[in-house]
Amino acid sequence: MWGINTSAIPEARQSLIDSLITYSFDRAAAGYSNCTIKLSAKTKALLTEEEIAQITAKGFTIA
Amino acid sequence: MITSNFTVRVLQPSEGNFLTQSEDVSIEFRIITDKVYLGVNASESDWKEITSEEAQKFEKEREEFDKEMQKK
Repeated sequence: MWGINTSAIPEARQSLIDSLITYSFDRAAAGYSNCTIKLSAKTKALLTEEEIAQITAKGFTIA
Repeated sequence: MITSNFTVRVLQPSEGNFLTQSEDVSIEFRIITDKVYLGVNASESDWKEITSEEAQKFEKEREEFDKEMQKK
């Protein structure tokens, strides 16, 4: 499950944040249309409100 | 001091229902979910509410599609 740290993948959550926020392309700033990202309910639950706001501000809908 | 304001538009269906795209999409791209966080330029009208029966129908269609894809 994406973003859930395990003993095998202790940096899974950071990977999630890096992929969706830190290093994601800002579609909104570039004038691109919105893009939808499908996440499992468990992965969505890992994101804080602030993180979700940062992702959606870049033009990504989280479904 | 830094102050930040975040606004997120969240869509949630009525109890027992789900959300899916409003447009007619291929079953392989059909999303069925219980919560949508809208992107900054997205519209609420991009999504519609469906019943659990409709959701199950889509899931069954997707299972059949996946089986067909595995045969290829």
